[in-house]
Amino acid sequence: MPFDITNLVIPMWTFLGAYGLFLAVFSLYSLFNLYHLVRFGTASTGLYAVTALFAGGTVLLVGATVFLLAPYDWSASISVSDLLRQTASTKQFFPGK
Amino acid sequence: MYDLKQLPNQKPDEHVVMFLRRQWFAWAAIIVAFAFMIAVPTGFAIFFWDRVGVWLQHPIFGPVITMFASMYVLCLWLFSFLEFTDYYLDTWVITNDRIINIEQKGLFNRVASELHLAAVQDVTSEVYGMVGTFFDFGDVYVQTAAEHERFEFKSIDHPEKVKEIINKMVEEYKETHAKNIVAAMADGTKTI
Repeated sequence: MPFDITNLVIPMWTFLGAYGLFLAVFSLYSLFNLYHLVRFGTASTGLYAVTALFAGGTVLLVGATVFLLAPYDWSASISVSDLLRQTASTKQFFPGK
Repeated sequence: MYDLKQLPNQKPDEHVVMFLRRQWFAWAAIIVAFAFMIAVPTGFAIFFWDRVGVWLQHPIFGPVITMFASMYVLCLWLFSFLEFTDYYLDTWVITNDRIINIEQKGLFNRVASELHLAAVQDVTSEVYGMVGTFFDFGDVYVQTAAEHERFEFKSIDHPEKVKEIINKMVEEYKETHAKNIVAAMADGTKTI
C-alpha cells in the first residue's frame, strides 16, 4: 500500500517532546551564562539580584506554561487529513465572518 | 569570581583607583527592548482576543500556540540575560600601576588587555550628543606606545573625570618611578 501522508496520525505528546527539547537547549545556554557570571563577574548585590531575578523569572514562565498547557488533552491524536480539513474551513477561526 | 582586592599579577603596593562599567543606558536599553518585544504581541492578542480566544480553545492549535508563545518569551528572556552578561562583564580597572580592560564579546569570547601607566602617551575624553551631554557619559581613549595602540573606554560615566584621574595617575607613577630610580642610584643598586 503506497504511503499517504494524509493518513499519518500525530500524537499530541510529540509537541511536548519538541518543547522539552527547547527547554533543554534553553537550560544549557542559561547555565553557560551563569558560568560566565560566576567565573568572570565581580561579586556585588546587583549581580546576585539579577541572577535571582533570571532564575525566578524562568521558573515563573515555565510554571505558567505548564499551567496553561495542563487542561489540554495530551493523549489525543490528530490525523493530518483532519488537520488539513479543519484549516481549510476557516469559519471556526474567524467568528462573525 | 573576579576579586578587586586580588588582581592578577598584583604588586604589593598596587591598589584599585577606579572600577568602571558602561553607563546605565546599556542595561536600560535591554529592559526597554524586552518590554517592547513583549508588549507588541501581547497588545495584538488583547486587541484581537475574540479570535485568539477561539484559537486557544482548539484542541490542536491551542496548545501549539501556547507553546510557541512560551518559547518566544523564554527566548527573549534568555537573550536579555545574555545581553546583561555582556554588559556586566565589560569592565575597566584603573590601578596606581596599570589599566586593565576586559571586554566580553558574546559567550566564550573574552578579551583582556593590560596597559602600564608608563606607556600612556595621551588621554582623550569624548562626550557627544544631547543625551551624552545631559547625562555626562561618553568615551575615553588612552593613546599608548605599545602594540595595542589605543585603549577605549566605551560609554562610561563622567569621562572627563576619568580622563583627569588617569592623567593624575600617570603623573604620580612617573614621579614615583623617577624617585625610585634616583634612590636606587644613590644606594648604588642601580647604574645608568
